Amino acid sequence: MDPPRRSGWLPVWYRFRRDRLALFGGAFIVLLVLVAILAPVLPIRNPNHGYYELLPANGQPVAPGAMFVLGSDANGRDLFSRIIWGSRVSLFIGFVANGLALVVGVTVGILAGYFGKWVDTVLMRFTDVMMAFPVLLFSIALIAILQRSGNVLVIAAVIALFYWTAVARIVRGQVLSLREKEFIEAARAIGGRPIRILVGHILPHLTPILLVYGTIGIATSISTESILSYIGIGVQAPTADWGKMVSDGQGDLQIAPWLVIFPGLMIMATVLAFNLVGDGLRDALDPRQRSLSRRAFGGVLAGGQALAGQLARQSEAESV
Amino acid sequence: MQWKFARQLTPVAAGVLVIAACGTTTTPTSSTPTSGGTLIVTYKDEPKTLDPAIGYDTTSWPEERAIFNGLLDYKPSSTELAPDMAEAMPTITNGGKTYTFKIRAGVKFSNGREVTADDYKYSWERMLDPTTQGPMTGGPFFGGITGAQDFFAGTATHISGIKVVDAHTLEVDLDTPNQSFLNIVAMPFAFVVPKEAVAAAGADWPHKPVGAGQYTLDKWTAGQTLVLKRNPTYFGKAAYLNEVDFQIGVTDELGVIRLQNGQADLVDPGISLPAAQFIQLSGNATFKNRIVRQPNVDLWYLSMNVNMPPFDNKLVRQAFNYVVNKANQVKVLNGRGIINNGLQAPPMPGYVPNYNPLGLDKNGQNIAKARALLAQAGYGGGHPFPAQDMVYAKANTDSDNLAAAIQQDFQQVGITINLKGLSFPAYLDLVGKPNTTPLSYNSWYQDFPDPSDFIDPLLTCGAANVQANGSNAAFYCNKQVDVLADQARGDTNTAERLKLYQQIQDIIVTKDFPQVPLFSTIATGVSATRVRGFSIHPVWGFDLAPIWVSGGK
Repeated sequence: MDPPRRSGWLPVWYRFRRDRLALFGGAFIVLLVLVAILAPVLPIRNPNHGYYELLPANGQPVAPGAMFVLGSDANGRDLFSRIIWGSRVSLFIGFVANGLALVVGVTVGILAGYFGKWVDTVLMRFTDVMMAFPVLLFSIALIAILQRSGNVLVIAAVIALFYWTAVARIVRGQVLSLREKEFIEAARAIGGRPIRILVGHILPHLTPILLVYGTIGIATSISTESILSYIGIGVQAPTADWGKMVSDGQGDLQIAPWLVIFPGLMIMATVLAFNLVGDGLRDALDPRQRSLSRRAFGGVLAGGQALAGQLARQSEAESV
Repeated sequence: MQWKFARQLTPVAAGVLVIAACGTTTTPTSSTPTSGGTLIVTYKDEPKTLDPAIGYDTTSWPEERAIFNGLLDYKPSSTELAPDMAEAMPTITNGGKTYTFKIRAGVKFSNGREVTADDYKYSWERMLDPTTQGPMTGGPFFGGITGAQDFFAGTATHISGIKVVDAHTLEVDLDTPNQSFLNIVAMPFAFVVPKEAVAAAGADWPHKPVGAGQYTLDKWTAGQTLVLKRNPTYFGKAAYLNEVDFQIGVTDELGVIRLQNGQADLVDPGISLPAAQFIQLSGNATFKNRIVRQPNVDLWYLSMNVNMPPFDNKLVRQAFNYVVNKANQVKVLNGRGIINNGLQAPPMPGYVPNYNPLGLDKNGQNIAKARALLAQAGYGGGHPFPAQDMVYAKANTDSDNLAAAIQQDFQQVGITINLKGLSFPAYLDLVGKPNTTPLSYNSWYQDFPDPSDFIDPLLTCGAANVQANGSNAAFYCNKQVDVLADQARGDTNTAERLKLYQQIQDIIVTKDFPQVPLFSTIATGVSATRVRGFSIHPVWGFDLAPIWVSGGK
C-alpha cells in the first residue's frame, strides 16, 4: 500500500465514493458527531430528569409514542434524549481511546520495525504479552484497582492499553518492508538521522493504513466501552450511556423491550458505520485488494458475540 | 439491663438479607385441602444454614420453620401469637417478669425422642452461647433474661433465668418486664433442637437438622436442590405435601418463566416479585388473579445525623421533611407501597392510618414550607445549601431509581444530593458509625410485629451510644423518648402501651425530625395454578404450612 502521490487523494475519494455502504456509514458518522456536539442545544428533554408524572400508577415504563418518541424508562426519563446524550460518551471514548492506542501503537511499531534486533525483540515480546491478557477480565481488575469506575478518561485509557498492540504489529510489518525501500536507503546514504527518516519519510507512508485501522479501531473501542458499561464498570449512573442503558433495561425486557432494543441498535449501527468506512477506505486506498466489507460484518459479529458471551456469563453469575 | 438490638437496617429495596417480612391475600380456595404431591419452589439464593441458632434471613427461616418449631407461633395470616408446642399461652407473674410455659406431652423429635423442658434450656443456652457464634450471642432480644449477661461474660455456665421446673414446665425470669418477650420467644432462634443430634452431627449440624416440625430434611445438594419430606411423627396436623423441592440458583426471571410453563409452583416466595415480573404477570389473564399482596411490616426513611452539620440544625431537618415526593417513590415500586408519615408500619398494632401531623400534600410534600424553613435556617441567596452525599445500599436497579427520584426532589429546593450507592456491608459500616454519615436512605424490616421494634433499635439513646454497627442512623437521642420507651416496653395494658408509642411518634415526627419517613412496602407473590392456600404471612413471609396442591400430585 503506497501512499497516494501528489494530489493522489482525489482518486481515492473517487473510489471511496463508489462504495455505497461506506458512504452510508460515513454519512451516519457525520450525523452522529453533529448530534453529539449539538446535544446541549437541541430541543430535547433533559436526559436525567424523571418525568414521574407521565408514568402510569404502576410505574410501567411508557412505550414509544406521542409522549416519548422512543419511550421512557422506569424513572420516566426520555429514552430519545438519553440515546442522544449517550452518543457523546460513546464517541468521546471511541476517539480518545483509539487516539491513544494509535499513538502508542505507532511509536512501538515504528521503533521495533526500523531498529530491529534487540529493540524489535523486546518491544514485540512485550506486545505479545499484552495481547495475551484477557481484555475484559484485565479491564475489570484495572478499573477496580484504580478505583475510578465512571471516569471516562480512565475508561478510554484502559481500552487503549489493550488495542495499541494490534496497531503496533501492523505498523511494524509495514516498516520492515519500507526500510528496505530505495528512498529510505537513499535518505540513510545522505546521512539522514533516524528521527528524520522515521518522521519525515516512514510516517507519511503509514497514513493510509493508520486511517483504515484507526477507523476500524474506533468501532472496536466503542463496542468495548459498551461492554464495560454493560457489566457495570464503565460509565456510572445517572450518565446516559448506551451500554449502561442496555444493562439497566434488560431486567425490564419483557415489559419494556425498547429500553434494550434502541440503545442496542445504536451500538450496532455505530460500530457498523465505522467498520464500513474503514473498509471503504481500505479498498479506496488499495484498489488491488478488495475484501467487500467482509471485515465490517466480521467486526460487528465479533462485537455481538462478545456481548452475547458477556450476557450469558452475567446470567450465570446471577444464578449462582 | 443492657439492651442490645438486632441490626436489621436493610438495603434500599428488599434484599435477601431482609428478615422475614412479607405477607396476605390468599389465592381463592374453592375445595377442601387434599394431601399429597410435591411442591416445587425456585430460590435465587441458597439458604445459608438450617441451624435455627444461626439463620437470620428470608431464605433460611422458611425451611427452619418447616423442620423445627418452638413454644409459640403466629396464627396463619396474622400477627397474633398462639401456642404451638406450648399447651397454652404462658402464665405471666411477678409483675411481668416471670413467664411459665407448659410444654405439650408426647411431642417427639423426628428421631423419636420426646421433647422436654430440658431440651429448651439446652437449645436456648446453645443459641446464646458465644461459641455457637450466632447473631443472638451477646444480647439482642434475649439479653434481658436473668443471668444472660453473666453467661455472655463467661462467669456462669448456665443462664439462671431459664429454669426447668419439671419435664414439661419451663420458667423464664426477666430482669425487667418486656411486653415483646412473647414475640421474641416466637422467633426461630428459640426453636428446640435435640442435644444428642447436635452432638452427633458436629460441624455438619447446619446441614443435618433434626427437629420436631412438620417436615424433615430429605437431602440438600449444595447449590442445586434442597428437599423436605413430610414428618410422620409431627404432633400437630400433618403437612399436606409429601415433599417440597427447593430448586436453588434460579433467578426470579427464570422462575416466573418456569411457573408459567408449569415447571415451578412458587418463585422466591420470601421476597417480593421483581418489578418487571410483577407488571408482566399483572397483565397475564391466567396469573393476574393469582398475585397475592400483603403490606410489609417495614418502614423506609431518610436518616439525618443530628450530630453532624448541616443536620445539627433542627430547622434543616424539619425542612427536609417537606421535600420528598413520596408518591413518586411508591410509583417507582410499581405502586407496591403506602405513603408513611410516621414511625410504625401498617399491619402492626399502634399504626395510625393517614397519620399526617405536618399537613403534607397527597405526595407527602410542601415545597413552599421547605423553602421557608431553609431560608429561616440561613440558607439561600448568597449562602447556598452545601451539597450532600446520600448513602444507600444498592440491592438492585430499584435502589438506584428510588435514590435518583430523591435527588431530583431536592433539586427543586436548590439542594444538590450526590448518590452514594454501596454494597450492603459497606453501607452498614458507614451508617453504623457515629459522626460518619450525615444523610442516608434506609429501610427497616421487623424482627417481630411490635411497635418496640421500630423505636428501641432505631431511635433511642442506647442505640445512638455505639461506636460501630449501630442501627440508629440519625444518632438521635432524646431522654424523654427513652423514658417513654422504657415505660412502654414493660406496660401490660395494651391500649395504654400503644398510646405511649403514639406519644413517642408525635415527639419524633413533629418536634425533633431525625428522619424523613417515606413509605411502607407491599409484598407480592404468585403461585402456579394448581397451588392452593398460598398467601404471604404478615410476619413470616413464606409460610409452607397452609399450602396444598390441587389433586395432590
